[in-house]
Amino acid sequence: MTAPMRLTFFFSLITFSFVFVTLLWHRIRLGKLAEKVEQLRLKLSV
Amino acid sequence: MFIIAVGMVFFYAPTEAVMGNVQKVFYFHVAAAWVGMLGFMAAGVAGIAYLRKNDRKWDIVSMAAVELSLVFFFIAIVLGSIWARPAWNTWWTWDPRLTTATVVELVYAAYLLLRQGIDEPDKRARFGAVYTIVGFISVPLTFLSIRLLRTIHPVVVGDNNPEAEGASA
Repeated sequence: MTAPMRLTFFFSLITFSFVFVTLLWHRIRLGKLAEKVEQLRLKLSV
Repeated sequence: MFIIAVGMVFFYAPTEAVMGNVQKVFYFHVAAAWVGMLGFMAAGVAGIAYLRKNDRKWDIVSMAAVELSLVFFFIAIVLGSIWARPAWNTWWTWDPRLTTATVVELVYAAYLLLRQGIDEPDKRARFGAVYTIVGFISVPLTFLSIRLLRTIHPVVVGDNNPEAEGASA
């Protein structure tokens, strides 16, 4: 691999990692909200 | 950031001498696979954290990591298949790396099915945590398959396999 290829490869790795972490953060937030909704539903049904 | 990465792949990185333009899929294929594997590891770590602390927060983290990693790993498999067609003259072959990657994808798809099958939240979280820890065994197996077994898949990091086809010149 030449130097520009290596740089592109590592930049691509960092970009994909950033996209993954961002999506993960949003998915965790969504999961926590879903859990809250479930608890509120249980409270209402009691 | 993603646009810059695409720009670098197509306009900054030189075209590979042997494979030509199709080699550019490598930058996305390896990155997607790497992120997928790290995500599966994160799911296993979150599973351990759940079993230790019994906090539902870790179950949510574990499930989110598996869901996203499944998508990224699937992208890596599809991109690998696109690369394989000109490099190996076939879309798919039951090479050790491709086989173990399929096993990983199926193991974690089964994790989602397992969760769907358990109604009680605490039981589901506990079973899920154990499953992500045990299921993680398939990930290093996939990573090491091209280093330990006879395969045509090239090694990107570390010593290259002289029998590999499609490696960068």
